Amino acid sequence: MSAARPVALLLDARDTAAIALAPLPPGTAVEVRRGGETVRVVAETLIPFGHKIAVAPMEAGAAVIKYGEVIGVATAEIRPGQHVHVHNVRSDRAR
Amino acid sequence: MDEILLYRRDRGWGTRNHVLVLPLVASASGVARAIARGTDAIWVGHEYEPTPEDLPQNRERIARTLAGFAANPNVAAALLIADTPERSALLDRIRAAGQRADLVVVTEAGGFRAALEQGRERLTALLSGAAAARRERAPVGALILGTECGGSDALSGITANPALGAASDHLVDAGGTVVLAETTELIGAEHLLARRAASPQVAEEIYAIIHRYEAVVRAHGEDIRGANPAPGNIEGGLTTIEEKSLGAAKKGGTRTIRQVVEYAVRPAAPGLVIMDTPGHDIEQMVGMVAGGAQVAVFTTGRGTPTGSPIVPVIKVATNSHTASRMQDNIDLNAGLILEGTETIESMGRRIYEAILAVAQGETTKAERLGHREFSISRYPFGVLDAAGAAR
Amino acid sequence: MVTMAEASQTFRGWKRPSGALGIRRHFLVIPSVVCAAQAARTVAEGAPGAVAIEHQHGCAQLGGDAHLTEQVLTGLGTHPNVAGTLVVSLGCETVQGVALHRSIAGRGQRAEFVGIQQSGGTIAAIAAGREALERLRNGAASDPEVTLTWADLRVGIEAAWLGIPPAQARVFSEVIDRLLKAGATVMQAVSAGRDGPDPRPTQVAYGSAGVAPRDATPLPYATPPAGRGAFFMEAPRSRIAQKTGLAAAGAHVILSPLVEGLPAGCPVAPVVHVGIAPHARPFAGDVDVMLEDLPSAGAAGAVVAALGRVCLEETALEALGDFEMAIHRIAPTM
Repeated sequence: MSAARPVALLLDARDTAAIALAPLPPGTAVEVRRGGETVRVVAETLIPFGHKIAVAPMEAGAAVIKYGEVIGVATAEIRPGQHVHVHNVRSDRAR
Repeated sequence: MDEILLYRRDRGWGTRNHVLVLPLVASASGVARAIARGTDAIWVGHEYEPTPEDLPQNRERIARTLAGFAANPNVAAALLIADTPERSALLDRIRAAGQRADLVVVTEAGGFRAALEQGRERLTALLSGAAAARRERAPVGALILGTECGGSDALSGITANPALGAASDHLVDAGGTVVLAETTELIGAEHLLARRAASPQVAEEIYAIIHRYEAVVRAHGEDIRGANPAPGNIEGGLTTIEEKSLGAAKKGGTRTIRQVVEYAVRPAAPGLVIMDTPGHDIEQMVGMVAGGAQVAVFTTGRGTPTGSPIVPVIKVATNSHTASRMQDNIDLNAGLILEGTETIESMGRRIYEAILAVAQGETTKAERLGHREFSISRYPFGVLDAAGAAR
Repeated sequence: MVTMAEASQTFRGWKRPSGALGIRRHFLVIPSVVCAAQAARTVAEGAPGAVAIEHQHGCAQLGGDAHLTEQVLTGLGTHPNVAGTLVVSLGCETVQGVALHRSIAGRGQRAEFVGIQQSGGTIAAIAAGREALERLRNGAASDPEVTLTWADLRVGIEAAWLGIPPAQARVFSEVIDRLLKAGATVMQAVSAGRDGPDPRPTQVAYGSAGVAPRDATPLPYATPPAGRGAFFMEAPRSRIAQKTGLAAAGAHVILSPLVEGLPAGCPVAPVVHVGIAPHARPFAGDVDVMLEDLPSAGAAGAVVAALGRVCLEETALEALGDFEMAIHRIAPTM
């Protein structure tokens, strides 16, 4: 099924989180292209449409990268396949 | 297409031929409404009441907003409604900008009924003058495009905003002007914008307007989370203001940033400019329109229905779900980019073509539904003074 | 001593399911955010008894400021003159319509909710809103009619930041005195706080209409008083934002002294405009009572009578059906 639409999108090779292009139920295998390689992760929990799934491990305090840019700071350790959102990421601005 | 059909005004080219009834203070809104009711004129209401606590800078900012709005090239003529004669200075300012305008002062007229009668008479004269206007050939470069995103979701920065960015590039390349605004929604993207600044001074101004907003938040002892991203943004997958901003900045395209202008100030020259406005969708739109924008594109993830009283606003959905759910409100669907039937470039071309068609009279869904939201924006000069971050 | 007419005056009213006693049967349509204002207005258009409020807030607001906006909207939605409230929400806004509806319904008010994004756009939301209004009207038909006296009513009195000349201010003092004697609750706005995003704290509470009783209790903006009697409400100088704050605190009727500006209505409470000379002379025909430089001895009685009259009958501004609205803001829009 090479014609099947990808279920997640990595916007930049530096990104640590990908965007779900459909709701991803727990256990969904997700593949994204990073440069020449394929990164495989499994959704731990439901990732709603448009939300982010971790494609790289992040320590607490590490930068979360999307668009190749810092979008916030991890407030807890984030494992690949986990939902990346307000429960484990905070803004570093205007606070 | 290098030429399009627009209305010629002394102060530029209009895409619409509206006659506006504008109250200068909140308590004149009722009279304005009564005068405009049942006529072809557009009226707006607002909440602004001058009090002695207004700082002079805010008085000037509000006067500039009202004057710029009334003098927008989409307005053929404006009827101002004031409570007392002291406010007639704004009439002179609007006339000096080259706008046909008249004024009704309720206390001078002798109360509601007399003001209504006088207003109807003056409005009739303005309306018949406007009815004579015809579209003429105008350069595409005459257009000032306002760009906006509202009800953003995680796809805003992937589909609709980059596509609007491509359209913005087309318009800049054709000699037009594109306004990128919503300063709070540029927080976190300023380094990318500053790199595209036409001069070190413009780069410095980009940093300055963003740091000012951050200073306001801190001065209030607040945290921008809660206000921005808004609950709907978070539900749509946006986690932080930085993430929202990186997606929001894409709607301005990729060209050189020529200038940073204050709220409701008309850009001095064509090209891409940044206007310092709040992220509040209506206050932002009013600022861009008061700064001369005659057409706007508004991208939306969650589905924001708002328009402008005098400027056509083209709605572009970021995803097909919103585009089909809210088809009464949405003009174009950039969600097709995800489905592979459009690319950012092809969608950008479609948006650009829609801008030219709407500029020449095609109505937008927001216009057809009568969406005419308006709001007066006040700036926290006092807070910034106290925080040592004043301009 | 002269017997005052107001002592025995009665008013036609209705008892709400929450126990509140009102003098109007309004159906209020509240947009939770400016983006829903147009839809809210269209829902109310042509619907019997429906009043839409229009405001410019609800999004891009910082925490405490957003909370105040929600408090004001909740106060208006639970106003005793309102027989039912429809919240029209966009969906993605800061002041969440769902939470606003919950807070209004949670105070025992008959309430409905419509979301624009949830309904699938403006047209669908308007249709759903009209049906919701119909349900509110049907429900309210069972509210029992009751006879009210001044002891059941709250009177809100606007401040005038330009100051009312002493001779005319004395009329307001007498009005306040008579209302309190008749058992009414009186809430006087005083502009001692900050007005909007430009903080210029003022040291003294001034501009209040008439001398307030010594034992008046202070009340924050848009906060209903806990009991009866005399209250001071902290308010901004914007007269329209004062009206909104007094209404959100449950004022059944509002008294507006006009030292500047023009008459302006309020969506949920009738307003009595008292014109102060010389400012109001040119539009004396638009005010309920005109106070000349040296008011006549019967002036206070005329003001109290006008208040009683509007409690019984719709005012000209109410008949027009649309109103100015302003909500006090304590932080700038983001």
